[in-house]
Amino acid sequence: MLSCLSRILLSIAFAGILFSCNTEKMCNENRATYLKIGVYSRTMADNKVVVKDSTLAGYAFNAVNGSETLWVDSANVKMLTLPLSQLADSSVIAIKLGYKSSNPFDYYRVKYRRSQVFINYECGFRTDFFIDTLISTNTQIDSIFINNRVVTDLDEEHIKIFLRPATAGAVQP
Amino acid sequence: MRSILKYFYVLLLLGLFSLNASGQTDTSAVKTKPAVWTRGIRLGCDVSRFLLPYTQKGRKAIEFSIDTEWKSRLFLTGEVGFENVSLTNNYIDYTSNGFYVRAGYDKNVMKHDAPQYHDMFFIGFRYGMAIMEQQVNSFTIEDKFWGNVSGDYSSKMIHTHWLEFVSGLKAEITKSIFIGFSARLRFRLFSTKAINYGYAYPGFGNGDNRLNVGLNYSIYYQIPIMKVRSK
Repeated sequence: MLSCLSRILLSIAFAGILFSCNTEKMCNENRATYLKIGVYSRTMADNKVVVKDSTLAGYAFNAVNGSETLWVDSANVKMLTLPLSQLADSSVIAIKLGYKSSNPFDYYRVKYRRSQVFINYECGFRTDFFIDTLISTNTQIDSIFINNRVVTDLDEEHIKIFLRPATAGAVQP
Repeated sequence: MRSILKYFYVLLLLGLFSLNASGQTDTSAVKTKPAVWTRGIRLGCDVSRFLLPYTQKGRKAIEFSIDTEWKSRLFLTGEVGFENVSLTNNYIDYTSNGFYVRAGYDKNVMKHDAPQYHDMFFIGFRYGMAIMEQQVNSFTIEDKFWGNVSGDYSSKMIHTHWLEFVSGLKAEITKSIFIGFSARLRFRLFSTKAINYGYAYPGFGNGDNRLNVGLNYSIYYQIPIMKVRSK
């Protein structure tokens, strides 16, 4: 007769066969990385500069390589989330405050290095960026700073935009 | 459906253990006369590898083992395996081929009154090494704004080394035929990472982890080499 140990082992074998199944996995990870731009305004209080979160009352975003406006959002936003080109080492994007307004676009040239990062076998690769330089026009904005040069799938703010006081007044705080 | 299978399995398990209490071997009778048993080299095949394509799509592997009792209840063990991965989906087309070897020992912590019984509850250690060649034939990153990115990574050789703690059971189900189950804790010592991706390193598991857990289920045949008679 089978020993107790044999029975345990045979039971494990049955369990293995019964519970093994082909688990067709889907990609549940974030495959895209976005440049995140926080919007701020400065005010003076007691001779000190006070930085406040601000919002844009709608914006329009252009990929300058194309003529068409790719992304328009009419909502009040504190953070712009924009894609960078994975086909070149720089992207020029144009942002207009107030998506229906006649405001001029501000242009941002972001120069960066790209690297492909393996996620997993359901999702393949994604592209991460390391921002080298940032150049912008400033018709609508006061100044712009790089906050975090590494653009990955993490929820981090990479660039801070400071609105001009007049513009900041025009948008909803 | 799975819950029905679970109930079926529980019933099966209860049936196995309640077959008959009298089925237990009467070792007292054996003690009275000299016992004869064989010692030899035990060859094994890990049959759980055959389930891999059903649990992890695109992964095929086979593993063989050899062990022999070197000293009393101390077994020298060697294992060799081969693994092939071929995965294709909308985002990636990947292939890898590799082999691995492990060497170490198992200590049977189960003591028998009658030495002709070979059932084992063992603990042991292994040193493992794998060599694999992998390549990404193509990949695509979708980007609806700026356009899709595609590319490939050419073939690269990678080797990995690890230490492994093993614990398991082996039982002789009929003369010279054994089945065995073991659980393994693997700790990676070092590996070359020539390219920025790693799926399953052969014999080790997920290439992104430093610590992996593995399971083996093997069938063994013991080649009888010498007979041992108890005093």
